[in-house]
Amino acid sequence: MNKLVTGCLLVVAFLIAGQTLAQNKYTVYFSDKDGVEFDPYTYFDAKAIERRLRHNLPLNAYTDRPVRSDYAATVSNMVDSLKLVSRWFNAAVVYASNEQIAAVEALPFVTEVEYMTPLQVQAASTKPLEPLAQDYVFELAKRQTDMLGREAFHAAGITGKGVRVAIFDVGFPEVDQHPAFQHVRQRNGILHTFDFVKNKEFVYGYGSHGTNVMSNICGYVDGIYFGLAKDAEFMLARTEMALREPFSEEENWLAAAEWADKHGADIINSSLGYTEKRYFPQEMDGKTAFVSRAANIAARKGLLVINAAGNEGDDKWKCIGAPADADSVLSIGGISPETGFHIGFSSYGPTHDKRMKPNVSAFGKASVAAGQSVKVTYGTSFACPLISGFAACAMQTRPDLKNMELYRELEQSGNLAPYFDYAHGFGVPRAAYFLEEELPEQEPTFELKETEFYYQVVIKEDYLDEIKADADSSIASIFTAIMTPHGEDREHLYFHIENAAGFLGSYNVINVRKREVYKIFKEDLQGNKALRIHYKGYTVSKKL
Amino acid sequence: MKQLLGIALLCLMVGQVMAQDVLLTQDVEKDTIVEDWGPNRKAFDYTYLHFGFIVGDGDSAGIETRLGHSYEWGFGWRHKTRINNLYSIGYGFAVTNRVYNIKQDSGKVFPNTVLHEKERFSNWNLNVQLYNRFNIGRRGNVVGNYIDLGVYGEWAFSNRHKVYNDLGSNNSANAGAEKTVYRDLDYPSPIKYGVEGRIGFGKLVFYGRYRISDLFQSDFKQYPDPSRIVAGIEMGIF
Repeated sequence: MNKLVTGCLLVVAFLIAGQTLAQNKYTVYFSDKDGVEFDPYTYFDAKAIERRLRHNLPLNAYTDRPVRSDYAATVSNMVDSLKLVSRWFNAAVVYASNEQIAAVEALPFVTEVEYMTPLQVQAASTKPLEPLAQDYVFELAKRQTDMLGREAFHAAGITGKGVRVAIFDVGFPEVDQHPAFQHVRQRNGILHTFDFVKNKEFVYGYGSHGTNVMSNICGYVDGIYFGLAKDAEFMLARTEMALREPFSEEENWLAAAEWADKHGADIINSSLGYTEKRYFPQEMDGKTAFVSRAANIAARKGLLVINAAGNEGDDKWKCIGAPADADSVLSIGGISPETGFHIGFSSYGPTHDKRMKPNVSAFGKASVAAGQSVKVTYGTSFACPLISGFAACAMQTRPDLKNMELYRELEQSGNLAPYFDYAHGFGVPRAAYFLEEELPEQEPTFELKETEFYYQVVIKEDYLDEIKADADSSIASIFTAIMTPHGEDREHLYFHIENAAGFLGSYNVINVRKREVYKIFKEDLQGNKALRIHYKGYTVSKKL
Repeated sequence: MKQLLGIALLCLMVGQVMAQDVLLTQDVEKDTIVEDWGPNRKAFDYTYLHFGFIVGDGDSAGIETRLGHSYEWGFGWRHKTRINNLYSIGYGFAVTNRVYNIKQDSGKVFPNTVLHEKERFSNWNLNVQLYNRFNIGRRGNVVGNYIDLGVYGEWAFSNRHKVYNDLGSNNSANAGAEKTVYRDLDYPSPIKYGVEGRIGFGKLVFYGRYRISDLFQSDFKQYPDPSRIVAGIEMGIF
């Protein structure tokens, strides 16, 4: 009998432990905002008002009005604690027991209760920083901005001036001291900071990922630019915890987005991703993930949300994460500075509902400000801010464009456009697209010859560079051999097959060594809709 | 002639290969197949290592195990079938070595009253488990946090009783110590069973096991039962 009692006690102990562990978090959605008073001119920064006017958005939208204080207070009194209140979602995030949340759910003004969960999220950088020779670090820094057209932008006086960029990350140590940001500090370019994890303004500590990222938007060291937008304005938000990865980070992202909107941000740079610890690949449809829904609302407020595609390309997960899956988020893939095409770890599209992602690409291996120095690191985390800096410059050239119009223009400025695929998007954006009245039409660089059984791609003689044997060993030559300063791919042929359902069934990158490059057999194309081929700025689209 | 043709064909093939290095190729339709196997899919299998301590003093005096010196270790394999996001069922097998380090004092009665320098009773067991798993929190394709409640049965396929004695000086063996191993023991129960519980955080698991059955056969009622409780940690390999 004693044995049985003891055994049962052991079982009960586990159940109690389980109950204790099950202190749950919920999002409680409210039914209305009736009777709430709201003055946008008091609440919003002048730039936020300006953005709304530019986008023909109402100043007093439903999602801008505050949550009813009586609803929030009632719920707060019924639960263990209230974490945050969201205007955009008209909701409150709370910690509550099962009994408490059941009572909350029964309230007449509660429309839905969503159960949250502890989660791990990955900051979208992978390999640790490399302490490489400084020559290589600075050469890479030069290339990562050159290939986006930094020289052309800066020659035209375009440096992101007047554009406000909000960066969401895990921390920003040394941003208040590192020489890479001295020019920003000197002009008081950091307008607002907030730590959404600890609810205070100090952000210059914790994980250094945010510092690395920011340097790829505006960093400048020893005459070398690490990012394009040295004159942009910044808002720094800490939304992530370095060692633990709770679901509250997605809520912090929402709170930071509402904060960025209120304070007039034009661009959100989010080098963050939420994947398998919380979601399945089938849920990467732009609508399921909490953070993706928040990102879509941010875009509806006129913000351009730019997010890293993720670093799961060579993992089982493989596809993009949240909020890169959101349809209004510009998702950034990574390419290798050495090869000029997709870098292995960069996550692939499409979304689960077959929308094209990533949208555009930049170097997924970059030089960054780190610690007291500069180093090389890997991750689409760093492709993302390179594009954010580019977008800030593009926005400066075209202040008339609304966010989604700029989104489309950024895509069309890609060096592969109109060609695209789910590894590169439309390729690397080109500054010339935004600076020149009209880009010269690309001459045909290949012919597509058709026989009874196959299509043969034949490169035109003028467009096949000689492959250099025994290339010199200088660091610069590593990059020169692959891409021109304007991002034109020297030796890569891209082709994809669009299936009958309207999305890509397959896509490929071929290394060109001789004129007759590739045969595509008609038998393999049966049942498909179109074949597209791209080489050196020229695209052929063949209806099947 | 044939040789010439062969060389020509080889050159042609090499030429074709050199013309088309495929640097990247992706089959999108294959990527979107939903798998049935995975940490939070319909089925999942994984291996694990475990180590635990035998805790407590047992049913009665006479067989106190030395805390921290009585332990078990082993490796196992577990299968999980997902019913829904909250509940799964499963089974598993494990091989476990369990060592009871018997405290040497005047109260010792197992297996006799003779005192030694060190004395151990150990066994190797083949363990079979059935369990219910209750997951905590919504999650993606990960094992997540959970509580397991289940039962187990064991077959002890090897039992040993080992004693160690210092011989001192001037002995006929001209040795410092002796170790005696007793095998084919009559008293251990070949089959044991009990209940177990686990609290898991991904790969890291804390477990507890309670043996309901007696360690020794009913014919050996004079032997008190050592502690029935084991507590330890497990590390999943996946």
